[in-house]
Amino acid sequence: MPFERHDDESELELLLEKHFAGQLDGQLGQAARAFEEQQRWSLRRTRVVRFGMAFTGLAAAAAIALTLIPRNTPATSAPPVMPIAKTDSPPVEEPQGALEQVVWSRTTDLGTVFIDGQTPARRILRERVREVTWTDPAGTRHLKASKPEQDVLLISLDTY
Amino acid sequence: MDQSQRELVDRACRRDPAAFSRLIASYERTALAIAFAIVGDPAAAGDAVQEAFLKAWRCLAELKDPDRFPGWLAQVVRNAALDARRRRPAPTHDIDTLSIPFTHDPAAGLERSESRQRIEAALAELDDVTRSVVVLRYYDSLSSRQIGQLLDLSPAAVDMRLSRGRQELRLKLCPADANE
Repeated sequence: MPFERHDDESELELLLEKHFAGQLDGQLGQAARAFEEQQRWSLRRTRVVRFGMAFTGLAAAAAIALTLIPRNTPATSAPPVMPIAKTDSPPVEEPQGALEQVVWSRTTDLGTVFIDGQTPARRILRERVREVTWTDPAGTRHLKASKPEQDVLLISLDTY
Repeated sequence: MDQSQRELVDRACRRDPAAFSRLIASYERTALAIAFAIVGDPAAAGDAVQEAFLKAWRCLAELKDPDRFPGWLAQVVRNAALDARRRRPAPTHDIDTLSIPFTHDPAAGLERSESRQRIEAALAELDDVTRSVVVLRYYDSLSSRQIGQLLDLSPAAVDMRLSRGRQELRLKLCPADANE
């Protein structure tokens, strides 16, 4: 038995004190080390975020510049999303009529996220609307189909 | 909580990492005791405490009254430990299958893994609150009033649970005497 006389409180108390010290003293200091490590990592992350914000600003400026450049695009009805960039494909001549495909796309930087709470990554939202218009050979009838697409990219960040 | 501790909490709330590091040093034993009482495993308790302090640092803005920091931190630790226990249930031992050689020397008995397992099994049979009271008293040497503040109990309730816990532990650890 772990202690000799069960009516002796001090012996039980000594037993418990030694037991808990033996079990838990080895864990002391780990929380402080984890916090210091997290602080160092957080500092590096701040630098990465600042770089990311600068990069995002440049990307936004580039996107705005692209939208301001006049482009010879075919007239379309109101798009489901406000496009930042638009890709035109030349009309494809089919024996039965003309087929035109337009892709409206928008890419949004959603900022830095942490995978599993640890690994930093850039989250990018890509939205596309693929629009296909068929026109009959006489040019009097049109058939339009659109397909929205959306996906999220996670791009790992180097923390250094 | 004394004035110096309150100042540390104030500084930590203003995002002073050095102040928070000192709070970790002050409250780590308490946090380990609370977590160990819940998860029953030293390594898992250490992990839960690390997680709890990191979360506490992130959420310090939620603490409105610095004087309530110990109780607030205890709750954060409890939640982290409960999450850890849900993720990885603590190993259990059947107390009746464990045998401990007779010894008059508690220190020598402690060195035996069987003895350690028997104590762990006896502790595991206590309810969570009573086990927390026992670990806080015998690992962190807290008074009944301090334990009560952490666990939201009155000092009298702490004393009652402590007395009950000691009695149950005596019976579990020395079943032959219980039959007398």
